[in-house]
Amino acid sequence: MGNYGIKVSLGGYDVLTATDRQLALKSSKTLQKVKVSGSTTVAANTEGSITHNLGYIPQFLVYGEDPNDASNMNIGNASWLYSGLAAWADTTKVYWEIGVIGGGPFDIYYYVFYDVA
Amino acid sequence: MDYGLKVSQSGYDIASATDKQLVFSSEFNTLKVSSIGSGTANPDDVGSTVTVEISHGLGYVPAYTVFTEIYNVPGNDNDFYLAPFTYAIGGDASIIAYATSTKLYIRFGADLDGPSANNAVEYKYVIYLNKGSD
Repeated sequence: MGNYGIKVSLGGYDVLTATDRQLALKSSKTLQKVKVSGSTTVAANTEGSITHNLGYIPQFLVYGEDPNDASNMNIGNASWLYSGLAAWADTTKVYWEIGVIGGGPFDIYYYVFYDVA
Repeated sequence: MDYGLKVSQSGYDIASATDKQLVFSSEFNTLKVSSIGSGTANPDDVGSTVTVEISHGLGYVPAYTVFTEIYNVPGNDNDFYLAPFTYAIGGDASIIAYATSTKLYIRFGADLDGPSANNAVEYKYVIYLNKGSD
């Protein structure tokens, strides 16, 4: 089978000589694709979630309002007890929880990707 | 000369779509995946810190993400969090990822008891072609 596919170079680069990092698109390299994104709110110490039903653990990003400064959006991570915003996924949902006593509701913004984590 | 490639989202005219209404534009860089993978670490079995080393061969520090199970409380088997994990109770039970120009490292603290069988911790990673450092 021959060499085939699509390449699109970034502005200022010749697609024939561009390195992979100088490409905006290369069909042999995966680009993240959003399955679902949106916003909601969550009360303090309460679990929220979005259903994806992908049947596998997807890549995801969750941002949540900082309980100490509503102008800041924290990124959800694994540091459950300290960070304020925990975010995790299983094969059906992505979850979040802001570990703080009182306050809220807090703004949440999420992305769930088709791509496998 | 104005040239390039744009793809608009469904319902938007490519001639008038704003940047946010595009699926793709060669005017903007994208995150491109170099490699993905997964594995299991078990510091409890070896009785010391485990640092997983993943060679990426890129020659520069790449952008990356690591998703991992965490300590068995509050973590559950097959729940994957975005690293890092820092453990508030005490001991060296953190999970920290970092990268160099040759490898992605994922460090699992010696006191980490994971939620999988035999206290193992499953992890998954994505390494991008994009740089994570200048």
